[in-house]
Amino acid sequence: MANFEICFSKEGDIKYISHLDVMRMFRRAFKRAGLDLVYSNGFNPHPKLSIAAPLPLGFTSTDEWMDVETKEDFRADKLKQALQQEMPVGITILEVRAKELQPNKANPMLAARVTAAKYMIAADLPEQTLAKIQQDTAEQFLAQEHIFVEKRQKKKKTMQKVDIRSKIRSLLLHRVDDKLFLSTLLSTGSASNLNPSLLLHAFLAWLDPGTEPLDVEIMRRKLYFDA
Amino acid sequence: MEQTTLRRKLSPLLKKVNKPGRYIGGEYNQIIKNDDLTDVRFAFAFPDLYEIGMSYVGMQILYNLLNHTEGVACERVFAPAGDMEAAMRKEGIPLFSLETCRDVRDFSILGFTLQYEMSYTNILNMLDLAGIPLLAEERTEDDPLVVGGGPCAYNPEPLAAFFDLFLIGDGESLLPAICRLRRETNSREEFLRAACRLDGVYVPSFYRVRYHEDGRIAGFEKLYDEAPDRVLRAFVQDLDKAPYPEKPLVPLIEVAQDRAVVETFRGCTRGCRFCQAGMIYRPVREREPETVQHLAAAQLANTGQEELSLLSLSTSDYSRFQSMTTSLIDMCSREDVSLSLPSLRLDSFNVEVLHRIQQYKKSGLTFAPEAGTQRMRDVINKNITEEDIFGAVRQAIRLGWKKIKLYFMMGLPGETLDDLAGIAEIAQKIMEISREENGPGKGRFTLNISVSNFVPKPFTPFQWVGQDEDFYEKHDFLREKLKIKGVQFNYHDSPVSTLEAVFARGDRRTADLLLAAYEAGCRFDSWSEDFRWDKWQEAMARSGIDPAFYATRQRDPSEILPWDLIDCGVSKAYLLREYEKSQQGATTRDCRSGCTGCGINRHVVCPLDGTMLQMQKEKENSHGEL
Repeated sequence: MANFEICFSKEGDIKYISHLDVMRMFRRAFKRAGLDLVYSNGFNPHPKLSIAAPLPLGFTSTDEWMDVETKEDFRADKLKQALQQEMPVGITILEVRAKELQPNKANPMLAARVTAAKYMIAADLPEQTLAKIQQDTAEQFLAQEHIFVEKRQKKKKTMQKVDIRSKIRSLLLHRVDDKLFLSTLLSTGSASNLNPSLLLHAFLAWLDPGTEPLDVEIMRRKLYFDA
Repeated sequence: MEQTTLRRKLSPLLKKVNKPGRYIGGEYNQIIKNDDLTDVRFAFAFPDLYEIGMSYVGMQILYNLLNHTEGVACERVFAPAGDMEAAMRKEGIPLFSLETCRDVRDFSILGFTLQYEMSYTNILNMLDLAGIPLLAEERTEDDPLVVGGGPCAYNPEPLAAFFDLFLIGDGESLLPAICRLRRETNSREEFLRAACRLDGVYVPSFYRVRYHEDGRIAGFEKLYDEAPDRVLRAFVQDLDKAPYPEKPLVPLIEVAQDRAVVETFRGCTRGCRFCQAGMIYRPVREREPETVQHLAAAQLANTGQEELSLLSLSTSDYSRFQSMTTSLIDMCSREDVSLSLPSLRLDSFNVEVLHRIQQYKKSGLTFAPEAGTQRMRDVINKNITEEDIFGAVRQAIRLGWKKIKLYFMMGLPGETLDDLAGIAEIAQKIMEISREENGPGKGRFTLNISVSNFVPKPFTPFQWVGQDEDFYEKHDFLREKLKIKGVQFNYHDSPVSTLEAVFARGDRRTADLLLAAYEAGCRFDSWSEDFRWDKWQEAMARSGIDPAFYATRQRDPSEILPWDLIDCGVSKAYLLREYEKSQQGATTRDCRSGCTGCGINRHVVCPLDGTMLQMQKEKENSHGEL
C-alpha cells in the first residue's frame, strides 16, 4: 500500500460540477488508469480518496489537494502522468507527493490539517458602487468589531445571523475598469470556515447597501495547512 | 447564432441555474469530430433532462455509431429544465448542442428519440427553442430535417405534423444510410423521395388520411406514388456484429442510471399480450457470450464505472444465461465492480445468483407478476403461477432480503374486482411467509406493491381494447384492501394514463391537442411536479379532441387503425388471434418451445428452432402453390 497527496486545478466549465461529482470522477479515473485504490472495510466499502476542502460549485481553483491510498506503490511522477491522461478538460494534475507515513492521529490527512484558503474574487459592479472604493476601504471594513451576515442553516433551512469577522484574515481590493478584485485569506476547514461569497455579500452590504454584482467569478488560489 | 456568441451569452446563465453541469458537456469519452472532415451534422435530441437522457443506452449506441461513420458528427441535445429555458428565452439563446455549443439550426438533421408519449410537449418546446418551425410543412431548406425514432415511432401519427420523417425499427443500419442520403441529395424534397424507398422510413407528408363522419379512419391516400403502401420496419439481422459502444460517455454529474451496460439480446419470446416491446423488437437476436464478455470488459476499462448491468427485455432468458453470468461474476469481483441483473423473471429466476452477486448489500428485489389472479395472468399471457411467486419470495426472504417490490397492472381487459382483490391476497400471503421465515418480532420486512394503470398499446394483442374508465374507484378499492401492516401501496396518476392512451393510439388529429397543451404551457409532463392536468383539460376543450374517442373506446378489429401504415413485422392476424385467445383465457406458449406464428419470419430469419421448423413447413407449402 502507498499514500499520496495530489494537487490539481479545476478551471473552465468543469467548475459547474460539484464536490461529490469531482470525487466520483477521480474514483473512475483511478480505475481507468489501473491504479487500484484501497477500499475501506465495513458494510459499505468505499475507496480511500479524500479531498482536503470541498470546493463550492461554480468556483475555479488552482490549488486543490487530496489524499489517496493505493494498493500498490508507484513512482509519484508515473502516477501523475497516468492520472493526467484520464482527466476531463479543465482538471490538471499539478503535483503528486508520495507520503512516507500512513495517515494516523499523529500524522492526519490533509482534510484535518487545512486551516485557511486564499481566494480571488472578481465582481462586476455598478459604477456607483465602485465609486465608493477608497484607499482605505478594506482597512475600514476590517476595522469593524463584528461583521454579521445572514447564513442559511443547512439542516434547519432557517436563516441565522453569524459574525464572520474572526474568519477574515486579510482583504485587499483592486479595481480594474468595472471590475473589483478582492484578494482575501479566509479560515477554512472543520474548525472554522468561511465561504468567500458570504464575505463578498457582507462587504457589498456594508459598502453600498442594496447593490448587486452583475457577475462574480471566484477562484481559490491557495490552500494552507498545519504543518 | 455563432458558437462564440452563444458561448459568451451562455456563461453568465450557468451561474444562476440549477445543476449547470447539465449544460456543459465535456464528459470523458465525448467525441468531437473535426469540422473540416464533417459534412453531415446530426443533433441527437433526447426530449427530457440530461440526467434522464444520459441514462438511455440507445443514445450511447447511436452516438457511437454515428460518430464512427465517415463524414458524420453526432452531438447531443437535451431539454433544458424550466429555469434554464426561461433564462435562455430571456437572453435569446437558442437550443444548443453540448459538444460544441452549436446552434441546433446549424445541424443537417435533428433526431429525436421517442421513448415516451409524455415527453411530446418537450419536443415542441425544443423545436421552438431551436427556432425551427413546429410544423414540417413550414420548414425551409435552411432548417434541419426533423427525424423521430424509437418505440413511440411505431405509431408516429400524433407527431406526423411536426416531423419530416420517422425511422421505424432498429437504427443501426438505417441511421448511417439516412446520413449518406442527406449528403447525396440537394433538397428536402429530393431527400424525402429517396429516403422513403428505404425499409423503416416513413414520410408522413407523402400520405393523407381520410376519416368517416363518426371520426374513424376511412383510409390512407398516397400523395407520392413511389412511397410504399406500408412501411416495413428496419431490421438488424446479426446483432452480434452490430456496432456497440466500447467507450460510452461517462457523465460528470449524477444521472439516473450511471453504469456500464451491455445489451445481451434484443426481442422477447414470451408473448405477454400487453407488452409492446415484446412484439416490436422481434425476433430474438443474441450477442455471443464472448462478445458480451468483451464489451463488458472494454466498457469497464474505458469508463472506470463501478457497476455493470445487462440490458434486454428478460435477462434470464438469454440462452447461455448461467455460463455468462458465472464468468461476469468472476470478472466483476476481480475488478471491484458490482453486477446488476435487472428484468429477471420469476419462473426462470435464480435467486441464488442474485444472492451471490449482492452478498451483504442486498438492495430491494423486484418481481412483476403483473396481475393478481391466475385467470387474469392467463388473459395477459403472463405465464407464471402463484407457486412461482411464493416460491421465489420465500427463498429470497430466507436468503435475507428485507424489501420486496411487486409490479402489477390494473385496468387489464376483462378485469373484475376479484382480480384486484387477488393482488391484496398475494400481499397478505407474502407477509405471512415473511412471518413464517423470520419469526414473530423479527419484522422490518417491507413489501412494496406498485400498481400501474394499463395503457393499451399499438402492435399488441390489446391494441383494440378500450382503456378502463374506473381507475379512481379501483384505486380506492385497492387502497382499502392493501391496508396491511408492512405493505406499501403505490399507484400511478390516472390523468397521465389517459393521456398516454390518447397519444399511444392517437391519429393525426391529436396533434391539435398536443399543440394546444404546449401553447398552454405544458412541459415535462412525465414529472409529477410539472404535470398540469388543468392545462391539459383546457387544451382538450380548445382543440375539441375528445380523449374518450382514443382512450376508452373499444375498437372493432375491422377498423382501420392510425398505425396500419406501419408494418412492425408481426402480423395483424397473429395479434388478433392472440386477442381472441385472451378473451377465452387461453394461454400461448413461449415461442422458444415452438413457433407461435407471429409472422416475423416473413421478413427476417428468426433464429429460434421452432420458427425454423415453421419456416421450412411454410416453404414446402409455398412450393406447392407456386
